[in-house]
Amino acid sequence: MNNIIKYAFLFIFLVLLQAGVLSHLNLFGFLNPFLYIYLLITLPLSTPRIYMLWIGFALGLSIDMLLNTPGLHTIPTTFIAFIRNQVAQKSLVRGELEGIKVPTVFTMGFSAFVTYAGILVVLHHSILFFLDAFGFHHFFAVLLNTVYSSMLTMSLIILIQFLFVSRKRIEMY
Amino acid sequence: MRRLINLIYKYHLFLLFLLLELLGFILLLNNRYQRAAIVNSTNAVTGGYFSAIENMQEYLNLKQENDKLQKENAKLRSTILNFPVLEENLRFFEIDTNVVIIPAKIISGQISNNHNYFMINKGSKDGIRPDMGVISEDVVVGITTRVSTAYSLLLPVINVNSKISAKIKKNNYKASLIWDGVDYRYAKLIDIPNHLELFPGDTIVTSGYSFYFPPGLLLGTVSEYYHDEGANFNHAKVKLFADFDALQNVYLIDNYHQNQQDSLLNSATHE
Repeated sequence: MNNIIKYAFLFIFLVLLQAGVLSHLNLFGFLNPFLYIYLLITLPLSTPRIYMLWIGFALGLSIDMLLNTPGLHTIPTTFIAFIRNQVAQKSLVRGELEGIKVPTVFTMGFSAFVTYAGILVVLHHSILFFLDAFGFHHFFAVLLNTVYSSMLTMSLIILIQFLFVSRKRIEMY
Repeated sequence: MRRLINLIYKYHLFLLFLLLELLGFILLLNNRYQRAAIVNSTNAVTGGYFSAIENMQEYLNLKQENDKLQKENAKLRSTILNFPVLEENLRFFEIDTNVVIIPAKIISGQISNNHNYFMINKGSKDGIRPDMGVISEDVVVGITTRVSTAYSLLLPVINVNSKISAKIKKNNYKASLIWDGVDYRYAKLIDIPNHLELFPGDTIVTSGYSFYFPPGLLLGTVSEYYHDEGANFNHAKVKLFADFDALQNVYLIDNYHQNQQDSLLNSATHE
């Protein structure tokens, strides 16, 4: 129960942060991180997949409503919510998901977490940018945008992991 | 029947996934082809949130905005001082007094998408209607699309659906200004007659042929000119005057003649 309230707050906080601040950064004129998918990356792995789908859909839709981009964020966010558990499974070298409740740098190990989060971020961003361009007209411009934005989002995710997720609290889950 | 239910149960997760993605695509395509957003945030809750954020951000740009307004003030003052002279010259012309200017503030907006929209803090209660021209000083910003009571959405020049009737200032030739979604600082001038020679620095202004904007408002300057071999028209890359990254104060042009002009055009095309 406690956990549900915690994640509900994280949901609202990330949506407001994304729509109010992060989507207006426009670093170097065009670069924005999409940190709100942090929620989907760190939800407990035991979350029923049907809830994951609905959470992903609701998250994307909330962002879309605030940014006036109907569907643009809903589609990639629902997609990564759907494939998240498989990606987590594949990213672990030893393939032991049982012992891990929450995917973090400390529970999964640095390289496994970076692989896991990286795959989700790159998939999300590339779907997002190619949907926005609506095809492959400016293929290389869009690709470059995807690469830079993914790197930005990933650095933020890792920064948050080291700053706000403590080893001790993880053991309590 | 039983097998069907079993099958649905077995794949219910995947079916839900397909359903949600389908919903997403319906939203996306609807938005693309209707020009205005269905799920739009021009309502009280989100509008209030963006207003609060804008209030905070306003302090950061205070000095810059102040300078801009002061410059504009000075320009208007000089116009007033010159007015007796102008009046003398304009005595035989009927001055159009049907244009009303409404000030507004941009409270949220995107410049990194292809389908960018901006939100302003004025709505139908302030006299805003869809299809009003939006300017900043004498630079074109865009057109209003969706209006709620307290907020409205505008379609800026930097939206791939935007198309503005323009002309080349030095020789009054007509062309169209569109945006290709690459860089928010540059737009594309198309339908330039083949025989024209344009040079970097040539000014592009509104033509006044559409009723959104009066003629002569600034759009941008030519930065590169392209000859399209074998085509009747050329195109050019245009550096926009409006800095969409730092836009705050805008003005809306309310043209009372617009409805009459529109209906006149409609009746003419139906004959």
